[in-house]
Amino acid sequence: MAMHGFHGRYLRVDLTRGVMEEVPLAPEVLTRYLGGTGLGCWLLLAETRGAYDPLAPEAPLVLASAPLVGTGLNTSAKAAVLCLSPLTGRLNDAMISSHIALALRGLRADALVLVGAAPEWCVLRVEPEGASLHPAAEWRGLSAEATESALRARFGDDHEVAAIGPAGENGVPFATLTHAGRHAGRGGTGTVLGSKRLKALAVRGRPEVRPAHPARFEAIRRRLQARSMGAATEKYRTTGTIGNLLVFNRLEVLPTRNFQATSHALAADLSAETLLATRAVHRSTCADCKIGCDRRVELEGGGQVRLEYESLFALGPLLDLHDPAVVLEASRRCDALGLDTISTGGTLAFAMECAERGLARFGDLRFGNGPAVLDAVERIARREGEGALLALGTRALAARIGQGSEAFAAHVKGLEMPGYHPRGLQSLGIGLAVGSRGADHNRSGAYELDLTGAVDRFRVDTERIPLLIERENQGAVMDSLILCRFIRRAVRDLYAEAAEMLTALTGHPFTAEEIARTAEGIQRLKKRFNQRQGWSEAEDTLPARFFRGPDGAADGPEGGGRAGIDRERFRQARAEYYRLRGWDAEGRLPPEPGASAAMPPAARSQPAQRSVPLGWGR
Amino acid sequence: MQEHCASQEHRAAIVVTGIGDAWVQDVSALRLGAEPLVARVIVALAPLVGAILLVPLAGRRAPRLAPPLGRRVTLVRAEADLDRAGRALAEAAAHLPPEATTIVALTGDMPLLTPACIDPLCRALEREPGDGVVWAARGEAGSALLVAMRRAALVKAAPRLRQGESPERVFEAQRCASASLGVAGNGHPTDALLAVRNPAGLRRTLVTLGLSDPAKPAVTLEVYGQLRLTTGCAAFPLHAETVGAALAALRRIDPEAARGLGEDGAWIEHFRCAINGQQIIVDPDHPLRTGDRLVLFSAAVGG
Repeated sequence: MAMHGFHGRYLRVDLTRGVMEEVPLAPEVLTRYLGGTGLGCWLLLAETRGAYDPLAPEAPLVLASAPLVGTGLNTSAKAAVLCLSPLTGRLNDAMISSHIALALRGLRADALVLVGAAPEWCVLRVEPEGASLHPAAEWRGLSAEATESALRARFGDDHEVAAIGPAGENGVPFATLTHAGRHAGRGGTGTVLGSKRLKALAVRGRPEVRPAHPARFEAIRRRLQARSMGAATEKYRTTGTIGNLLVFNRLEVLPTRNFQATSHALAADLSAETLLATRAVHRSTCADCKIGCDRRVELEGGGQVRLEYESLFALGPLLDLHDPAVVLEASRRCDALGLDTISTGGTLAFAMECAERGLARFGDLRFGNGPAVLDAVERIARREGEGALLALGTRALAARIGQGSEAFAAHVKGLEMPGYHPRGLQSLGIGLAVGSRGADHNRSGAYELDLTGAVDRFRVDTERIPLLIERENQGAVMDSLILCRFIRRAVRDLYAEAAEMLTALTGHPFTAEEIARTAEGIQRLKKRFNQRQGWSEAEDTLPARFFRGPDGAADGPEGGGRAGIDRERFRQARAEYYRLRGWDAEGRLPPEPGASAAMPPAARSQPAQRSVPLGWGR
Repeated sequence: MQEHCASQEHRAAIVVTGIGDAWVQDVSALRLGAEPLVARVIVALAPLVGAILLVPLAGRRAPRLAPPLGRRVTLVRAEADLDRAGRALAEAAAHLPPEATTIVALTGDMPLLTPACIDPLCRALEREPGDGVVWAARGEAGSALLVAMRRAALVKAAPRLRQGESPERVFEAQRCASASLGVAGNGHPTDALLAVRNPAGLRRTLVTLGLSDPAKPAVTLEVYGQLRLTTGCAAFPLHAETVGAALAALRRIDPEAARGLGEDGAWIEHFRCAINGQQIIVDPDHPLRTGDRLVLFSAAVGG
């Protein structure tokens, strides 16, 4: 195809049949959904029929590149990783960053789709010329980091590797897929790769992206670069996301003790202000990024751990832990074992509260017991002892325990809740509830409404729903271009600037209105996928803990001293969300003219144009 | 009179830097050998007192002190202007530990101080009744004699203080000009040596001298993240009637904060402010009340 920035094809690797196929992508699919999350959602729908099991061989794992990847645009080295989540049974759209995204782009395809399962545990090596499977027995049980090093030593430094750790090998439903310490972390992407008996992907490719209008594109690149190195991103450059912790504590939105409370008396011990003053902290960047939000903290016993706010909260205050040595070690173990820190921490916190209430017991696991947490993390990854139950995740564990524990099982659609307490960020409460992925603050972005002063963060209303929807839409566009969310404040008019970038890159005359329609279209794809998997309105809610008590009391023991969300206002806000999205009163997507229940009217997946057998390496 | 001997933790010191007109430059930036000038003052104080508050005056840089000396002091940024050291001291008083009963306030440009100069002063204070005494020496700008006088005043005073003479009487003999703290009508700096009984006494002393400013609400501005790291300070006591005025005061106080906040009024684009940690306020004209705490954080808060 002639359009710059797109390849007009994707690669489908069928591990069962042992072939790699080139499948054409119609131009209207690419211009309509771009790449990344948009294209990935379309491919998930195109490659499947009806509801399916996330760990069945036919379940696809999609790695979707995007037009801006490989252009050198600041923060553009990312790929979307999509699957049906084994944790939630709903759409899982994750992102993975840095050189692996550039290597995928260098395959000269818009996406890589993995289906089937390998005959034995393997590493899949993919190059522009073809793909091969390599037995992975010698790498089983290794961390993702160790696997990456070993594979680069085996295949060469020109390969980029994304791998799973022991948790993914053992089928823990919140296992991560990791590259260079960066994770496609949530929802079990690592689990899906493991279900295909793939320990890792090793990709060799060098992107060659030639803009249709090089001078214009270069001017855009320089302008974005300049803006993204100013005050808009200073927080990421000076503290990284760990700078959130002390502020959230002060604003009383730091989830503490399984969301029982909204602040922790000793949170300062884990703050960026303390860690940066007392420990050696190194800053690094992703490929094609000058911001450098990455923070690697040196550990007392040697080694480093990459630290984000979410890991800090989930393994810290959420478990009533404040000792940096323990929290950092817990985070390091999660990374080494390939466990999502939010789901790990959330599940442990739930288990701790069950123990506190006398509903269940998991060894010595209780709030504030650091050694028990460290031990539990290992057991979860190995699914050993009480770890086998903990590895189910919060929702399934609550279903097992029953006895009213669902009321404080902090998840949405099975995805454990992030480090933003909805009682003090009630716009985000709505956003988490209606989100297609579950409790994902990034896909929602609604916390920004709560923290701008434009709305009252302690109550819910329908007037803010258009703003909430706009935050979701803009996020979907950024995830499809792809640009990192951390650059969002450097972009003044996302739709207009995206249109300008894409036009200069591809030569196709994108408009801001078209980009806005793309955003809406991507949200419809997400809804359609979930609906096909059996989504119902009952899922779009929060656990009882976050609502005001039935007697209407403003504060209760469940609330951490802060009034909960009013249920009736929540229902009204959710109904308004459905209405403005164009869905029916039950939140269902109406059928689109000319479409089957499975597919949107855009062109379906076409037959493969070329098929080559997978090589077999030893 | 029974001598009251306070233990070290009941003594505190306030060291004011930035009023370096006698030295022509910002005292905070002056170094003696490998250390800032003010380090000598702190070294002299360290064996004698518990808390040491270091107060760079408005618009002056905070002196950077390497560990372990840096860990010995608490950095306090005060709103008071350059010629109102007394007001800065009043604001710093809010940070004094409640158990402090003997407080010595010094300027940071006295490198020749030794514990032998300061200890008799502390002991003499501890013998005195009431809130304490205030005495000062004032000289011409650029006068090296000023420094010698201050040190000489303490050295000469020490034996008399040890013998039980009152500080007021001892230092009365040393004064070269009338004691007037905080009001420099002729533009010359005023160097002050304060010794008061306790934080409340300090505040009362300064009120007596007409240095309090009850007209504007007394608020505290808390900073987080990059602002806290670059200013080295967690909170700034201020007097301001509105949010915008408080932010403007912060810019005036600390050059690092000014750089971080950008031009006047520009802070709204990249920062957020929550009054008492509750609702987020973006209106610069939002009124403040005494006791309000403004929580200032990056607008990029979150993921």
